[in-house]
Amino acid sequence: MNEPIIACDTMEYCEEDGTCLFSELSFRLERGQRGVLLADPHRCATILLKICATLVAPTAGQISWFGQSSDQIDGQELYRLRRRIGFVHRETSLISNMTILDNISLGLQYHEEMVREQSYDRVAELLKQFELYEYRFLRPAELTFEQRRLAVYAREMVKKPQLYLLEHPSLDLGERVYSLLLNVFNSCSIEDGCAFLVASIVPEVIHRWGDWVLVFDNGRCHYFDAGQFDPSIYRESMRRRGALLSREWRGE
Amino acid sequence: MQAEDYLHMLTGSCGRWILQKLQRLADYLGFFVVCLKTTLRYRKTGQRLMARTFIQQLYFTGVQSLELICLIALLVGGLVIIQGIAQLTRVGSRNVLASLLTVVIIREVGPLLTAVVVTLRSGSAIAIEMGYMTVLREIESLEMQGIDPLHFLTLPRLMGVTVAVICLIVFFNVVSIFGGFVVAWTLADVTFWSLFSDLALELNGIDIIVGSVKAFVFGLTIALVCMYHGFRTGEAITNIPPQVSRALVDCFILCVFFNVLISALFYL
Amino acid sequence: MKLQYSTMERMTGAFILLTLIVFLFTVAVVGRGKNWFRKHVVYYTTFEEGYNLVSGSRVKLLGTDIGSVTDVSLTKDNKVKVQVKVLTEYSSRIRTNSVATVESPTVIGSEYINIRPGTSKAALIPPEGLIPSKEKKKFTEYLEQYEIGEKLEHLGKILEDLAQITDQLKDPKGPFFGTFSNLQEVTGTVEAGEGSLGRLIKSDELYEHMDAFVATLQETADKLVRAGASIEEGSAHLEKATREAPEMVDKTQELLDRLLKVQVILEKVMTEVPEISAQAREGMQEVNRILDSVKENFLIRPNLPPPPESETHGLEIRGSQN
Repeated sequence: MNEPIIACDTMEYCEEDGTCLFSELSFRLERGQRGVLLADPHRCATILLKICATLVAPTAGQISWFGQSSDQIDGQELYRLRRRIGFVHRETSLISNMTILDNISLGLQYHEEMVREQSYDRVAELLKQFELYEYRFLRPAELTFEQRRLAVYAREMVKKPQLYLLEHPSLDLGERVYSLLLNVFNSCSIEDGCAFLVASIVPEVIHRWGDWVLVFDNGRCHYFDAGQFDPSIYRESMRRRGALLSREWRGE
Repeated sequence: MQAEDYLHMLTGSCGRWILQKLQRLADYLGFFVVCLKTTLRYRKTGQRLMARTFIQQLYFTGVQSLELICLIALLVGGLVIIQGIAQLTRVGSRNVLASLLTVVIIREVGPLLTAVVVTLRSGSAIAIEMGYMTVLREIESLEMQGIDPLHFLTLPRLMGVTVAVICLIVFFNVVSIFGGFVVAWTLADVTFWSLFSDLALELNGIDIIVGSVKAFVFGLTIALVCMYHGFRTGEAITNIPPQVSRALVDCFILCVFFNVLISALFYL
Repeated sequence: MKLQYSTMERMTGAFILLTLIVFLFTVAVVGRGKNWFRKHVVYYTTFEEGYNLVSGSRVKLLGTDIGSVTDVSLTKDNKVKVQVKVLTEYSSRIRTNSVATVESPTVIGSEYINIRPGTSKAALIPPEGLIPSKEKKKFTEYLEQYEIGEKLEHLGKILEDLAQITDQLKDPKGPFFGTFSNLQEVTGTVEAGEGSLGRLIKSDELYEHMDAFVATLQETADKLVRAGASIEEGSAHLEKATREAPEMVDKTQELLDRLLKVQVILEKVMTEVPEISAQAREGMQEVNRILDSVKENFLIRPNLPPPPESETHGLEIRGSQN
């Protein structure tokens, strides 16, 4: 059996006021696997992604990354681990006082002591692939939402991570660009064995991203294989409970 | 309410106020220690990038503040000499102008005014920048790049501001002496060389050391306090103004406090 | 290596370099002022007391700076050992008969060590050697030197005497006021034309008599001259008369001169008497003013006896009565 990229064991997360978002959560994400998190409220999925990204610590239980348990990881090791994880949160942003090129090549310049020009060369191909090359010397505020979002993905891909943690990957992206992104990630999954954990409010995302799905329902977690999960049933149950429906949710 | 209750309120509020101030001082100290540890831990990481950020900070805090510092120094130097001539003429001791310049400007006013200018200009900018980076989750992005923000953001700013303050104090002193000389020459017929030789006699090695120590401490204080409050902004953008305001006030108070402390340590 | 630099990099570099230059220049200036870059020779000297000497106190040779005190410590035999560093170029003047003393520009405070140079015949004191010293005068010694105590005593006595004199002056029956009242009386009598002097000065009759007498004398003299001329003419005949005549003429002439002098004196007295009277009155007023100001003096005022109750002896009042 392969070593899991992420393994959670009876994990629990409760907020300061005592509200537990989830408890007794256990799952494994293997190399090359793709999991989807669907949650009501969505905050459960966001917190779980942040726990997986090492940004938030669980209140109970164990989590390990690449075989390393959270209690074995010290400060410096944590930053090393983060370089192996690509995390794109819906609020993740670029550094506003740097150009797109500097934003994307920052990790290379910092960790690999690359000269600016050398790091620029390394990221040029990716920028061309994401149609950002001609905007490389602009600052984030000068780009469209879509371009900024793509730049964030590009920045994470430069690290060549083995695990991608994505929240609403389709957010702010047009269909063409979204397809482009999916193609890039697909090849990454197949060629490099990258694993993906995607949090979304759109159940249909399972068709494109999921090998399995975790559904959070009032603190309880339900595990489904992709084949077992029917998005229409999930959508219907949410609608009955009067959940806030987004435009996407309603299929408009 | 009884008298006892009022006494409880008075002692309680007083104690809480003092403990809060001490807590904040301890926080600054803790932040400084963490920054030092981080610097040591990543001392060989990202040197090129850090050097570039350091130069940017030095350029912003030092070079771009130079004209403002020179203008203020010129005026303050002149002002001190005007008052010196006005007061010393009454007792017939115009020959102590150099001593006045040394004591007032080089030892006390120069470092303090430079610190105030740097706090207002660069300290506020640093606090706001850090505040925005926290609110806009840029700090989180850096962390996910495997970059420790305490190293990448704090170290170049600490170094940049400290070196800039040291340089600016040197410039402030030189320009204020020049300003003082111009006024002394105009009003009291003091020649440059007489003032210069008096200054050379009045200035001590200890003045240079004290000036450097003050500059170093002020630079560190300004950068640390402003960075600390910037990082404490939290998630709401409305937290930025109060944090910046607190940072500037604390910087000023701490600089005055350290000025008194260092002067007392060296001159008493 | 990248040899192209941005404007920001160049300006920052210039900023740092300029600061360094200014800093080094300041150090050089201060160092020059403080003789940091000149060689020094260390000597020691001892005193009975520290006299406020501290590390950094100046060392002077004939009043000129030649070094500074570097350390002040106590010896086992309870003396104060002072380490001084002296510029090498002046070390040749520090000899076995040099004397170090602690001096101060203001009796107390800003003390420095003043070294009196030794003579060229005396041997040089080697580095780290002991310079002979002389103790600084104490404040009481300065007082003794300038006999300040004695002078203060004298001043006290003078003030006492002055107070006594003022007492005496203030006494209405004392010699001062007595003399003035006599003078007042005399001038009053003269002015009134009483008494011998008054009558002499004020009598118009006497003046007329005198005038007539002088005119007669003048006439007599003329006659005598004429008689002399007659006698001269008959000299051959009157040999005896001729021998006696010049003597007689001389005597007559002498008498005439005396009379003329008396006339001049009398004329002068006649013109000056009213002036003397006015001067005497002014003199009395002046004395009165002096007395008033003497009474106002803060040194004398406390020593004055209380004024007499009802007597009014003001000089002005008396003057105005005249």
